Amino acid sequence: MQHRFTATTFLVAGGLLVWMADFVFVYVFAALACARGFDDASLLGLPVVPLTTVLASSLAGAITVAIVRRGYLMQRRESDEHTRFIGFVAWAGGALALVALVLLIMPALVVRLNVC
Amino acid sequence: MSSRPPDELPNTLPRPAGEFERLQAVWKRPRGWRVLTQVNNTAIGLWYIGAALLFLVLGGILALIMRTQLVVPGNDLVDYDLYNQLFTMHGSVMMFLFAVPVIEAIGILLLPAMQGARDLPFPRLSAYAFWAYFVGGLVFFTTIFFDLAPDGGWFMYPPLTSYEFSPGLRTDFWLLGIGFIEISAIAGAIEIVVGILRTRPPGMTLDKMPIYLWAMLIVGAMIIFGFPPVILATALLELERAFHWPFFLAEKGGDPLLWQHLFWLFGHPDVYIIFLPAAGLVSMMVATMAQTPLIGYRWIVVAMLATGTISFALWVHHMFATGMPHLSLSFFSAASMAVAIPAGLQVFSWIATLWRGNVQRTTPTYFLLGFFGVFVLGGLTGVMLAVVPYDWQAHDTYFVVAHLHYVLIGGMLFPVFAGIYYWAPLISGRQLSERMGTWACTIMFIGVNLTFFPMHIAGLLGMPRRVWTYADGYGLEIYNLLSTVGAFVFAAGIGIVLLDLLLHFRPAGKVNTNPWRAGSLEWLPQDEYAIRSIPFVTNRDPLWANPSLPEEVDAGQHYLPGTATGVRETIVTSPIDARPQYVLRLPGSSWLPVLAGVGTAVFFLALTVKWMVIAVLGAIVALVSILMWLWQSDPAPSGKLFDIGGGLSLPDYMTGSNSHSWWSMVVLMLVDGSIFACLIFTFFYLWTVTLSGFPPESLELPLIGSSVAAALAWAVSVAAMYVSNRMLPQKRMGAVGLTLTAALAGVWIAFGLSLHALLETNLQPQLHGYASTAYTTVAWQGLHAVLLTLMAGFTLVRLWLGMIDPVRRVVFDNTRIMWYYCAAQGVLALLVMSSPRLAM
Repeated sequence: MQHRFTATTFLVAGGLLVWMADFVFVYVFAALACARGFDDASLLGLPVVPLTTVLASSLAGAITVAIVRRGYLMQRRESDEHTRFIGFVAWAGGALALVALVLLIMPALVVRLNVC
Repeated sequence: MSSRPPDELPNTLPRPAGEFERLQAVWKRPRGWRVLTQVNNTAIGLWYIGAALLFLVLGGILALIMRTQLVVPGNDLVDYDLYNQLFTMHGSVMMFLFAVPVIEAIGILLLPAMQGARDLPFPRLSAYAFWAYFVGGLVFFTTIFFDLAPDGGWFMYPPLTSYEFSPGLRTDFWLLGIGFIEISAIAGAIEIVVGILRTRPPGMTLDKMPIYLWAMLIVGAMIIFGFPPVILATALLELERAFHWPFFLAEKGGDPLLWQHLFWLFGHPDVYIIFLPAAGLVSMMVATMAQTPLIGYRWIVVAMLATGTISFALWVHHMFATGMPHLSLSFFSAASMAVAIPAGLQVFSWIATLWRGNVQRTTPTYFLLGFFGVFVLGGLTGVMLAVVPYDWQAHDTYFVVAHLHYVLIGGMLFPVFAGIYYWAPLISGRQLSERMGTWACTIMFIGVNLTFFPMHIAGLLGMPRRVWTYADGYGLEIYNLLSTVGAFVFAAGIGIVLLDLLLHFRPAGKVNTNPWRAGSLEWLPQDEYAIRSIPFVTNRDPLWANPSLPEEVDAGQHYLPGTATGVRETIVTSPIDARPQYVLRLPGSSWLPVLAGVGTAVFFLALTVKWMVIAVLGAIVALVSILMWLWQSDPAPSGKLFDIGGGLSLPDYMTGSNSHSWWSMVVLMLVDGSIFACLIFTFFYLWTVTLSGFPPESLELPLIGSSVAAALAWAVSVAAMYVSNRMLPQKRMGAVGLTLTAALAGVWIAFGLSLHALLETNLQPQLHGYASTAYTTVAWQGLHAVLLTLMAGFTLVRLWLGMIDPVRRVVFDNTRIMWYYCAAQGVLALLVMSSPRLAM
């Protein structure tokens, strides 16, 4: 079985790259909120910065779950040892990314903190 | 070609008469003075490691002077001014001249052997990286003898290091002196990344790569994205110092924290750039020392990928005390916790492997055990520092000094020394002294703990880092005394290793030894040509799977047993599946990389002391040498297929994404793009933190008409290049040349209009952070216009001489893809500079 470089790279590192994108987004959003003074803003009665953090990270989590699923199925179904390895790295990397995502949104979920 | 191994060995015996002699002849090393012209990665790797060890000793001597100063309170061995220079040089030398170079050096030495290649794809690039680093590093170090050494700490925070508080040349030596090291590191990274992706042996798919290859591949990628922030930061600070462009001056629309962001965007991944290769070495050695395959290979790959990625989200944990938003701090605290998980995975895999195996009690094993103890303690204090309130207590105290030394010495120095004892027989054919190694390891282990453990307590008692002395009566005396004694004990341990090397290490010619009974390919019989033939890899530990492999390889029974094309060569394989694609003809020994490296170092150093004539001469020497070397780097395709054995015939030339050269250009563009992305980050960061307007109302924005015209000029330039590319397969060489010239004209018109858009306003780069960023962005485009001019000129001359045609087109393709990249960057720069209009 032949593998394309770009597709394989984005599969094996996919979960971690999604985590990175989410991290950059929530960090920049929180920084902008503090710099531009909308840290106290709320939406539907919920504080906008923690809400955005949770929503963005949930979206990232959903994408990561899809990557984990794809990698897991690849590892289970393919007979080629190399392809199974690629599937394993994809799902295991995604699983680690999910743990990192949970750690990332934890402060926004459980702490009623002053954002700035 | 199938990804399955051949049923029989690819080549039969006996081999044709003269085949082996021809192979020896093309790989024969130069003798006498010409030994300096070597480009072979084995030779360059050895020199590189030797130079790095020299800088380890020099940096260590600086540390011993500092510890002697601190042995008692109120000591006056050195004054505060020299002490500032000592700790700045110690940190800079250890990080930039020892740690990063030594990991690249080990990679350059080991990778070709470990992946069964005759050499990596760009041997002259490795040689260039070495010479620029070695010459520049030596001159940089000598500044300490002339009272010219930098004194702002190894992370050089402004405003302390800006023109107001650090006049003179000291800071310039750091900013420009680090320049050639950055270039050298990136050159090494290109070689490593492309080498791992394209010169693995047939069959070595991702799941069969030695774990060290994974580590170096990830680290190569980290250097590509991790070094650009510090390249930009040093350039911006030098611009501020030289021309008063206010990037880091808050009163003029800059921000000193911008430096910290850019520096630590490099600085934190750098810790893992240093650690991951060491972890890769540990994984290789642990499996051999335990005589069992590594447990959790797949998990270690995942752990290294995760560590490499998450390490880019940790930079703010060096900035917890800067008053950043609480939620932002919690994000970085979370990431700092998260990165401990993959590190822990690796440690448990190593312990499990040792537990399962039958451990050989030898010096490398002792160093590995030392690594476990010291590194794990450093990692635990790292988790403590990841807790924000704790960090606020310990920040800038000796606790941090203790932590970082435990991590770096434990995580890098112990594995590197284990590696020296483990791989020395690969070069010299015999082991270093077991007795001296055991003593060295024991003394170093005692020394490192005696030096740095008391620093935790001194830090918790409130002793700040970087103080040249301290007062009596605060309870710090005993801890400093112990640390000083420990430092000398530690130095004695290192001294024993160096003495052992001096007494027992001599590079041999042909080496055929495997003293540790290892399973990886580097233990195949090695000579000046590396290995006689290149095997098809079917297992992660090929020498364990096939004990007769060394004899088969050395007899020439595997692929490419001689020189197919009559010059130095290796097999290029596909990046994921490792299918053979073509025979890469490698360049031989040359003075050109030496001259280019020395010229680069001279340029940066002469620029620092404003010896402009010498700087220009250095630049010319470097540029001409590089152009001459590039001139030879695209040899004409023979049009033949070369039999490498097993019924496999390969061409000697490929274009597009099959070409190794295309990959190096893409990597270079990633580096370039990362620098540009950091420049864009700078722009938006300053916009975000500048509350008085960005730009303030008193300043105008770039002219919209000129900006639009510049974007159109870029579009015309790209269109001309596109047409040029269409003309080439039709062999309309005149039209190719004309359209390429037109494309170049478009570049300069675009640059001129971008500059015009600024010059016709009241924007002066000294006035405000917006203006300085805008001018820097345009200057960056100007630099690329010069680059494209060189590339276009080079391409046109080769076109004129008939050295480019529809088949031999690698030079043209490289110019073309760089062109498209520069155009995209140029248009994006125009959009960014004008973006404040949207906020009006």
